[in-house]
Amino acid sequence: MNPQFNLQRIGRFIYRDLVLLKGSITTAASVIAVLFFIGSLFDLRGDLRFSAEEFVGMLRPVYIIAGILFTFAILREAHYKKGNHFYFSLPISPLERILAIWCASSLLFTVVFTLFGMAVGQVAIAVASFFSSVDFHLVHPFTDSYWSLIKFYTLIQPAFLLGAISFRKNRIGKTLFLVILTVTAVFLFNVILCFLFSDGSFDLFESDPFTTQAFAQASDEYSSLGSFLFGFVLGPLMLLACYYKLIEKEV
Amino acid sequence: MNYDNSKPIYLQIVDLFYENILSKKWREEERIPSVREVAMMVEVNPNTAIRAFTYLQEQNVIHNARGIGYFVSKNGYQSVLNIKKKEFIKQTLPDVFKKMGLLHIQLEEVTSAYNQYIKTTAHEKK
Amino acid sequence: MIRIQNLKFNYPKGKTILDHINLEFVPGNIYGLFGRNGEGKSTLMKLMCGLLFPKTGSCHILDQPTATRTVKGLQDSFIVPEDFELSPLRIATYAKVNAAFYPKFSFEQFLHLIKEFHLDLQDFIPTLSFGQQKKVLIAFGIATNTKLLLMDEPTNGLDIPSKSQFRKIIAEAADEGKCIVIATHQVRDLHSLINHLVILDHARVSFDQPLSAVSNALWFGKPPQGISEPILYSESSFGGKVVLARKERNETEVDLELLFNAALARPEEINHVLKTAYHEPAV
Repeated sequence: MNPQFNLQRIGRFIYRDLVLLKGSITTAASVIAVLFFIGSLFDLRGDLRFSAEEFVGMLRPVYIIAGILFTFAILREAHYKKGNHFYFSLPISPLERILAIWCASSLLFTVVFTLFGMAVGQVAIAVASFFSSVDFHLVHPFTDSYWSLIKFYTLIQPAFLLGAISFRKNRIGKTLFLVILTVTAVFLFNVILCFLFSDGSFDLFESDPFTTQAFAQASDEYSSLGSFLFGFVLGPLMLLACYYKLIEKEV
Repeated sequence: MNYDNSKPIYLQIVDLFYENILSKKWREEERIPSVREVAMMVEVNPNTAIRAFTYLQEQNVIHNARGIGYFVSKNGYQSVLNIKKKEFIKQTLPDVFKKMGLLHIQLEEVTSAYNQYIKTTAHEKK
Repeated sequence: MIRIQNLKFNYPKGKTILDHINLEFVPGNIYGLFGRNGEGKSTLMKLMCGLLFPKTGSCHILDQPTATRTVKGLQDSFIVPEDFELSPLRIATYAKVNAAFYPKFSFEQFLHLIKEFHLDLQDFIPTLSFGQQKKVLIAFGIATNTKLLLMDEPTNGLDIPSKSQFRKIIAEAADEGKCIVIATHQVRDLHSLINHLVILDHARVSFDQPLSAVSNALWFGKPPQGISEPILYSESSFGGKVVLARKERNETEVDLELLFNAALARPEEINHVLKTAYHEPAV
């Protein structure tokens, strides 16, 4: 057995984090449950059905925000001056630690959050079918837009993870600022690329019809190039950076 | 335990053992507390307690039965008595004599004080 | 157990706190780490368990650099810092979620220590006083059964009966395989436990000796009348005690406070006497 890598230890670390955050998780879960319940009832109006699209639409904003907040919460202990000595002297290797954090805030969070959303939606349907003409039916979320939502979260979450590890204060603000800056930079880079490859036939600074075309093309390019950068380069790169940040972190 | 600052702690532990043996709190061939128990009792480093145990073994006051623990030796009481007597004659008495000289106290005065003491304690015992 | 070689440390933009530190810590001892305020005692302890990294030189635990924070090294070291807060859990939950990481952790021992400190497993940690939280951490640290146990000012915040309790518990926990290092100002609280003294001064190690060598070489007490030999160090206060070379005199208990002051005031002389006495041990 490799003394530096042990799945059981990863499991224990996730369990420890969850127990420590039990209070916050319970509070957040009850707020979200109420929001989802009301949201589901609203979605049932009119067509009397809670469609998969409506479900994803309801999930989307809460899922992203809650995920990011959870990511920051899980790393709060690492920055807490009176507690991080214990955190960093706990016998777990940096690799196990980063994997545990990522699993909890990405995989586990997604699965639990989806199931939770479905459960609340189901309860809402059941309640509605009892009191109104809504027929009982099952929520099923697995559509393309659901998967692209998951993909989107999985891709940007490492950036927030890195921010949560790197910054001591105003971690969320600083990270958001950097993410926006990065996205803008990638976008501008795309615009410049488009501009270069089309032999300067676009003039960005004059208001002719090509300008909008340049931007449209740029955002098209961006979505493929961008997701490539995020998915296969930036995401893992961010995780790697997190790993090194953890190794370097002193108390 | 209240430490006397001048005497090494291990010798103070030895004195404690002597006291327990002389007062028959610990009888001959009876088991005595372990090194760790003594260390805890007097709140000292176990190494200090070990030193006291070793010293007492050298004086044949206690012995170690392998795997069981420490016991007061067969003639432990007598050994302690001899040691303490020697200590009294070599250390305590010269101090008293020195004081007697300083204060011009005659031996007769000491004798009568001693007799008086014996009388009252005998009286109290009744 | 722990080997520190030529270690140097400073905080970012700070002055050098530790310089040319060479120390070795061996199991079976209780080390007292002394020094004036801000002389780097806490810093050295953090370096010893990998919470800080040396700027130059090295610090190894069980032949692994502490800065790499290997699982093997961390499983055998535990630190009780001077100031801390524990997670807001019940004591039992706290032990449950954290103990799983320490292979030698003993719940039985933990329960015994918690009882000894008059605490209850069901106590909710945030409702405990700082002293009580300190007891929880000390109990947990001892129950992990790590080879290295570092404690920074462990008796700070403990009331008088608890200090005695603490000494009993440490006397019980100390054994051949365990290396305990205590940094403290409270010399009186702990002098009966410590058997090796390390003093940090001006960022260096100014003294590093087992107390057996000290009591072999030095004599502590009120000055005997009419001595002609030079006094190594004397306390100016009323009824001042002195430190002398022991020579043929009876062994005295090491007065740690006096020794500490003497070693700070006249390090060369004190170390010289110890060095020369070491070569010709008193019979």
